[in-house]
Amino acid sequence: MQAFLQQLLNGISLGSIYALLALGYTMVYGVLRLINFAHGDIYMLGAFCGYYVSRVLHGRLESSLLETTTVMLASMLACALAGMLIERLAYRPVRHASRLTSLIIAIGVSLFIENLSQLVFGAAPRFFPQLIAEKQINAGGVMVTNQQILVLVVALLLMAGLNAFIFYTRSGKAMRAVSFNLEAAKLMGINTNAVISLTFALGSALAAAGGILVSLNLPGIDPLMGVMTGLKAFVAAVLGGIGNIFGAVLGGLILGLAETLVAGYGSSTYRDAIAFLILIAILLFKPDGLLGKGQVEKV
Amino acid sequence: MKRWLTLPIILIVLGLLQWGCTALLLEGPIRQGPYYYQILVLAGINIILAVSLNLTNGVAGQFSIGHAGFFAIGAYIAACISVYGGPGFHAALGMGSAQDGALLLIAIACGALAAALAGLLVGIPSLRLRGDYLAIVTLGFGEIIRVLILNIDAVGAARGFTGIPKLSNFFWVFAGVAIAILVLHNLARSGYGRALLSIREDEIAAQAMGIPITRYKVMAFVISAAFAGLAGGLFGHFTMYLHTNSFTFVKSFEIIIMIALGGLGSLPGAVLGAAVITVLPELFREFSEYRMVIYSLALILIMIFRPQGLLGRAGLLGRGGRGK
Amino acid sequence: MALLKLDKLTRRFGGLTATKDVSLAIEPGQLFGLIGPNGAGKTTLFNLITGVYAPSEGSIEFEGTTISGFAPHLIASLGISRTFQNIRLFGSLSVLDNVKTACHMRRKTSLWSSVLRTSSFLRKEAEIEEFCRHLLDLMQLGQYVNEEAGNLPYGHQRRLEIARALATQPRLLLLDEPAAGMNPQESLELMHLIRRLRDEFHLTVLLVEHNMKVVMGVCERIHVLDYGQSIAEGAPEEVRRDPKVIQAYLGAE
Repeated sequence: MQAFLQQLLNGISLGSIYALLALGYTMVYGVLRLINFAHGDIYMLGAFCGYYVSRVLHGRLESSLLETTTVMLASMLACALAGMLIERLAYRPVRHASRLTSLIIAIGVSLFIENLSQLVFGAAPRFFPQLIAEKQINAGGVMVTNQQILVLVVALLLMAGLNAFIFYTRSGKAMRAVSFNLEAAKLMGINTNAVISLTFALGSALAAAGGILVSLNLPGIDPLMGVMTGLKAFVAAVLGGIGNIFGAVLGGLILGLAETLVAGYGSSTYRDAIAFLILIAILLFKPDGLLGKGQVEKV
Repeated sequence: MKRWLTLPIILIVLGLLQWGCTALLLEGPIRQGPYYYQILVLAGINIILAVSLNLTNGVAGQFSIGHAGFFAIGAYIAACISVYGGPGFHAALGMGSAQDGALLLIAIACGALAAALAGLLVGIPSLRLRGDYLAIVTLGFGEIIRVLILNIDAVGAARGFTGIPKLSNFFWVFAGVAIAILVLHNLARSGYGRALLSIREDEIAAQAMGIPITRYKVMAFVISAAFAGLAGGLFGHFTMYLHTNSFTFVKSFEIIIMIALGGLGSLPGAVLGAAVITVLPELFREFSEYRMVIYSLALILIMIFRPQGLLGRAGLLGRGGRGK
Repeated sequence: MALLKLDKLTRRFGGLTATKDVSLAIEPGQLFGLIGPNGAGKTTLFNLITGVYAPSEGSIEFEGTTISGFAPHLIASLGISRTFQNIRLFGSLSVLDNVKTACHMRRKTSLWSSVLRTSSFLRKEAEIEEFCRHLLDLMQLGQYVNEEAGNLPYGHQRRLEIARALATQPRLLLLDEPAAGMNPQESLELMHLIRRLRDEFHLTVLLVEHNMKVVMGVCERIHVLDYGQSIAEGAPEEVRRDPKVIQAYLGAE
């Protein structure tokens, strides 16, 4: 039972990272109907950004919490800019072309970031500095690390913030309008380009936060770390119902749990396959995802 | 010229070329001959992969990004046949080049069949759905195949599959190229080809014209997978060694780059794209670390500024007609 | 026996009822008009008949067979073909290939003979080509066979849609606002053409139009929809005088 609780905790911790990433996929898909394949690479850039910032900062700030916060905010800002830049340079020129064109471009952008990063950062893994000394807390036989608590708290705060932004601000309302119908939103005087940029910025910032949170627990970071994680986060978004914010969170948690349980009780070599098996199952039985709504094409 | 003569004539020409290549490149005076020979054969395999993917992605407009998965299935199944069935086959029928050829044909036929079956299994559930899902399902399928192979000890698991007999050569690979091009070209010029194009253009109108779109999409997917499997069989029996690293989704993306470069939907374009993507990196070996950076940048720029590819018909993808 | 019979056909989209309890019967050979103001549910009715949407309630019978819930391609193969109000041609294919595509269902060769280009395949291809060129000549598009369909002017595209629908060799042809965007002279010519097509191909035609004048001149029987419900049916003269129809078009005082 304790072992199970332990797996459950690890699963939720992993799942909240997937959820942070899945939010970015779902938001971009919501406004542009585009699978942003480069999203996993933004997450990787977030981790590297954090790596460099923390090396510069190391030892100059008093508290480790302040240092972690600074690293995270700097990295989120940098990635928000990177996300906006990608949208502006690569996706906007083909926004009115077929979806196939933008899908191929998204693949191209992803490959470009990965390979350029391998040139710039080197292919070998880097050791992410330990910003916070790991402490283990024994909660009734279940070992909780302070980093796992940090992951959960930060992820929850960010999701709550995003939720507040989307449902209680004017920009959030504009974003929902664009996601509902881009052309109509434009006719209503909404600056759709600005909204789309904002969507990319927000999604990328969340991905960067995910990248930092993961790096706190990981032994090393490398330029291809975002590939598989990104794909799985996309699966999480589809699982929850792509385009649906709550669906992304739910899908992320389910996927995180499924993976840890498979790795814990089954074979860890099949861990990477479980996400895709879930994907195929969900597409077979509930193609719109758990919380998604079916769409009727207008003829 | 009688139509039925086309294939025999091509095969005779290929036989002569094989003889010429062997004399010139493998046993001849050219110092780097074997290296050129190898590039030539790999280009042929890439051409089969590109023209087959072009059927689903270019002609039918269904975006698959797991072609390497079918390539892997074909390669491993074909290799299994000749590695585990080969000794028995030779014991029964004796050694010799005719027996080798027959064994190769049986092996690659099994590989192609297995890949086609996998295409059917993946295609039926996913082709009913909206286009983007197919992309991600095929990608996931490719990864599942890779993980499975990594866990099967009989095919070498993570060590790689060794001891595959060298049965394939220039002749067999280009015979495969000729058959793939003939079949896919004729298919595209028939009513089936027009039906697939109409699905790419407008699914609802295609249905209203009596075309069973799911069945046709699955058909295209299965044919495409079968040729990828064929390419796999030829590949394994040429390199004599298989490792899952050759079948990651980077390989799938590489095939997509080939057909995007040549122009989605264009058969000559796919052939050209495959040739360019095989040969170009060899010409610029000293820049090999920049290779993928340049590829990906080229892919982005082509899709933004010349979406019809180098050879593609203008306007093929430029119009936003197929729904947004 | 009626060729097409709709019985209390209802379709809801979420909270919106697009058509409610629509019943009508079309006799073989009739030129039947379906009119109503914008948003009356005419196109929804087309989409129900051709299987794009499944009805929420009610049934559709074609030649005595219940076809409600059938897939669109099956309905097409039974002999119902249509054009689209918001033109849905295969834009980057040639004009000729657009029409040839619609022949595929009735003049199919096996996959093998297509790949091997056998003589039976080539004969069939030649037949298809001749048939399609004939249809295009009939629709006055003969000189555009090799043009890309998406590049044709609007009026030509509407006629190409009709040629393509005819290529499926239907018994019932559904035309969704075929005269939209045409001037009165062009509309009149089109209506005469439709009548000729009906006679030459022994068709039954169901025509949607929101311009009353166009329909009055050509249809033998007219059914009027308003807010998804039937409000009148009869010969053009009766319908024209029906106070409910006048009110629907001109609005209540």
